[in-house]
Amino acid sequence: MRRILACLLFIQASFHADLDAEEPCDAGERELLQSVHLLAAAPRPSDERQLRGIRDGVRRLRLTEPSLLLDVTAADLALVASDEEEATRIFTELARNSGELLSPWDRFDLARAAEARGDRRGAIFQYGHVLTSLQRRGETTPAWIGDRIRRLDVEDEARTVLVARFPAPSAAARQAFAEGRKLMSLGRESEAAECLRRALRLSPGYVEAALAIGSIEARAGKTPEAIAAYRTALAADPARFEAILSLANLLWVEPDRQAKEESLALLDRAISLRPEANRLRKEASERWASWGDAARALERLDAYRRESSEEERRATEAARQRLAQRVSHPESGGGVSSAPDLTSPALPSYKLAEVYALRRGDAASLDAALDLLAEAQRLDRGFAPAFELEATIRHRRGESGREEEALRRAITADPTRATLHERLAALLSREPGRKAEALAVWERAERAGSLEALFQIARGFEAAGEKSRAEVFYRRSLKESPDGPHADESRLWLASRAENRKRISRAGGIVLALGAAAFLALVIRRYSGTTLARWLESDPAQGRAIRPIIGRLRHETFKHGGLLLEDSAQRLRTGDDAVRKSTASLLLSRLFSGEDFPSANRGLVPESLRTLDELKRCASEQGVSLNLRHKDTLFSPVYAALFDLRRGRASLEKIAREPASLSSRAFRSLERRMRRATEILSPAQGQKIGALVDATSSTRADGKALDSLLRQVAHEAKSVPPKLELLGALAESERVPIQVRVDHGDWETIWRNLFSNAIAAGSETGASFIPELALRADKERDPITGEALVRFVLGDDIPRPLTTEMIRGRAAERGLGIVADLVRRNEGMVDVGPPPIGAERLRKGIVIQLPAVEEEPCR
Amino acid sequence: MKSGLRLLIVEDGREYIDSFTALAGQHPSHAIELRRASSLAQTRPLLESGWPSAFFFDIVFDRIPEEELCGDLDSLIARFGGDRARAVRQLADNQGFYILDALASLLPPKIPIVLAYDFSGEPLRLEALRSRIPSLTGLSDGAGLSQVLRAFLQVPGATEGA
Repeated sequence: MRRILACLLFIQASFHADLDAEEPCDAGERELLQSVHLLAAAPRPSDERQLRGIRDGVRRLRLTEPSLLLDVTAADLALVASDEEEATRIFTELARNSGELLSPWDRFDLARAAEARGDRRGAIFQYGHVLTSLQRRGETTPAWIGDRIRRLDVEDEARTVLVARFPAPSAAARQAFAEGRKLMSLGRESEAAECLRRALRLSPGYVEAALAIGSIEARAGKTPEAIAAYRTALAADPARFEAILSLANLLWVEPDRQAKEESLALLDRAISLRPEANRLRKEASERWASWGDAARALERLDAYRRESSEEERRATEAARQRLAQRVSHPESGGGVSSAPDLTSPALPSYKLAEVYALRRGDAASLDAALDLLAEAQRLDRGFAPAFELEATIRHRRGESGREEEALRRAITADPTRATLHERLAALLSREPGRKAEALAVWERAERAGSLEALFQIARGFEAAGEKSRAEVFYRRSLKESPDGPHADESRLWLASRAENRKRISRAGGIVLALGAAAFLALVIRRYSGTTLARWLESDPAQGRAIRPIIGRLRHETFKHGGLLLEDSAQRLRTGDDAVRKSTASLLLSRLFSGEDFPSANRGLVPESLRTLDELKRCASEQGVSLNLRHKDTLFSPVYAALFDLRRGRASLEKIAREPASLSSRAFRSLERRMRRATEILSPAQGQKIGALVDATSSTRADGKALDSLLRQVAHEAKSVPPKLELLGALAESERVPIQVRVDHGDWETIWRNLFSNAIAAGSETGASFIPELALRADKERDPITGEALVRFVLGDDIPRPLTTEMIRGRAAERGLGIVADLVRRNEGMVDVGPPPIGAERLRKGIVIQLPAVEEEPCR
Repeated sequence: MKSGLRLLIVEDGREYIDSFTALAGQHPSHAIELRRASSLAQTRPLLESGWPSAFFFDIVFDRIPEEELCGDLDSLIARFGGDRARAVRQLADNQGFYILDALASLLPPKIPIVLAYDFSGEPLRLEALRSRIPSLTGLSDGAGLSQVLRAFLQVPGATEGA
């Protein structure tokens, strides 16, 4: 073929040479042409050295005297010398510059050469010219050329398809993941994080584990760790909605520009994945607006408003007008994390299928995609994306039965991917009569780590009338996905349930009227629930929430009760009618004000019952039912005493009207009630309750334990542990105990964050810098109230400055914000100051003052 | 001759003055005058006038307006990390201590002062407060107001003639 072409070209060149004979011709060129003529006439080149020399000569001439003739000659000589590469290159130049000289077959050859090089776009170009040339000549165009062009186009696009796939998690990884999820549901998040990290170490790319770690770290305020976890999740599953949205939210609050740019791009991607989550469009609009891109902000706001209610549109009208005025067109870009591309024999077919299915999408392309997916599935039965993509195609075609089959096969191939369970559950939810089956799949999705499943399970239980179980899942959904697409709905439902509870309690009179039901309720009340001691033992952190309530109880109930009742009971017993009358009036005012008794005073009975209710409410907000009245031996007598006083009210009213009108028997009964109440409602009882809270929710400040914690934190950070000098009371903490009114969990979190921050700050100073720390504790008293306090000062020699604002303010960085929050909640104080006494060589100190348990006096 | 007790009760309600009024009738041999103040602003002029011969302080003052609470609110706000509500609660829940602190330099050294707080579980705390207010006592466990009143009446100097 090429010889024929060469001869044709030679003839053409010779013809042109003859035509140009009238024009002067360079002697060198003439000699060259003669040589070419001789060469072409021969059956084969007689001398390779001669051929090489001629080709060199032609090349020189092309540089000094470029011409079309010489180009054609050079290409021809290259073909004669079997130098296809140079021939193709020259023909390609000729095609670009003088395409009319080339025949369809020339173009065809160029196309095949381009294909062989992998230059698909170049091949498409040449095939296109083949078609054009043939059409111009009036010749029929072979159909295979069009198919070939389409195939090359798809192959070229398939190069850009990213398929991230890690091997399915191992059994050990799944076990660790399941343990982690269980611990999360129990609220033991630090332990859960350990299990989840183990799962991720065992199976890198375990998306659900990475997502769960991200949510734990985010709740703990460890933003860099949370970002890293979500990036890990995205690397394994670039289209994972929860990872995209969570990462977008975390990056948005980072101070640097690049993070915000990436955040904006991620949020837009999240919207494209979940177009039904309209709230996200509004969020995106607000962020683009604060970024300064009014045009994009306006675009998203308009998209939100198109899907909104009338009320929502009215609410955003002003914002829209402001944006419309500000419209500008800044450029912005966003980084999209790229995913690794592992090998699988199914990958080439899968990539092509994805282009056909997702980027073409016409009926013929979908057919082609299904064929390719069948091939991919045959080549690798464990390649879940092939089944998943098939499910997508079946869904588009409305073939729900085959869609379900494809999803089930995808789940069999990779049961750890929560999105697969989610899709199957959503499909079943749409099928009539399969809601129960759908709920079961949602539960499997939840076990696989799906956050969407928490919400759907809650809805399922709600629809089935199991509101208590629904509440548990709504709370978990809100807790684990506070910024998710269902957060608002979960909040509304929980608020509505709380409101319903109030309505139900107000309608208690109706319940009481149903005798049997009331008795059953009584039995349940008597035996259900837990005690304060048990609750605090299981959740010592609640101590800080209930301390103020216990304080009020001690003040109102036990102190005032003790002051009032003893005297009053005696006056009733021994006084004359006038004294009894005035005493009864006083008691009525002091005991029952607020219970339909007009008085400026605060009635002990209603006030005490309100405070006890507040205590129970505090527990129920944590999902705990306190049975103080019937089950708690500390509080049962208190309730008994208060109700005793209530039952004595009628007798007191009689005495206050007319002392002599009360019968002896009634008077004795009143006396007994007063005596019992006096014994119970005393400061001693209040002290017992206070001591219980201290016993369960206080921590011994142990210097050695803190040193050990520092070493552990350094080990986790893979750093050399700083030296820690213990000063003051901490140096003698074994001999002189320090008990702070902070539960162990908060205590450890406070110091863990402080130590972690010091180690991190030290690392930022330099790789070889190991900070020196000193920790001093001194017992103090509040100068005004005399309350016992402990003042800790953690000194360091880290050059990075630290201010009060950096600890306490809105910009509290990393763990310091958590420290400030926990200290504040425990009625303490945190500040920045000089280094501790005894360590003046250091640069600065973080001061933490915490309430202490009052110590026993030395005897 | 009748002895006179001039007891100033510092509380935000009327529980104590009502109770002491009822109890006063049981001591006909004593002239007992009772007056009430609900804030530092009301207490200081009475103290400066020399009227009280004894004091009874409540602790919690959560029924008076915030502006009537005494104490360095700004300092407390800074101490509690900007949490104003927490700072106000600290003042209200411990207002009796704050009023005493504000009056400490004006109080006659031996004037009997009872704080409505049971220090029986916190003796070291009472000792610390007494370093500034030596005549301070609290409520002992089981003590009623009648005992408190009797204690006032038995303290030398508390019932000097008016």
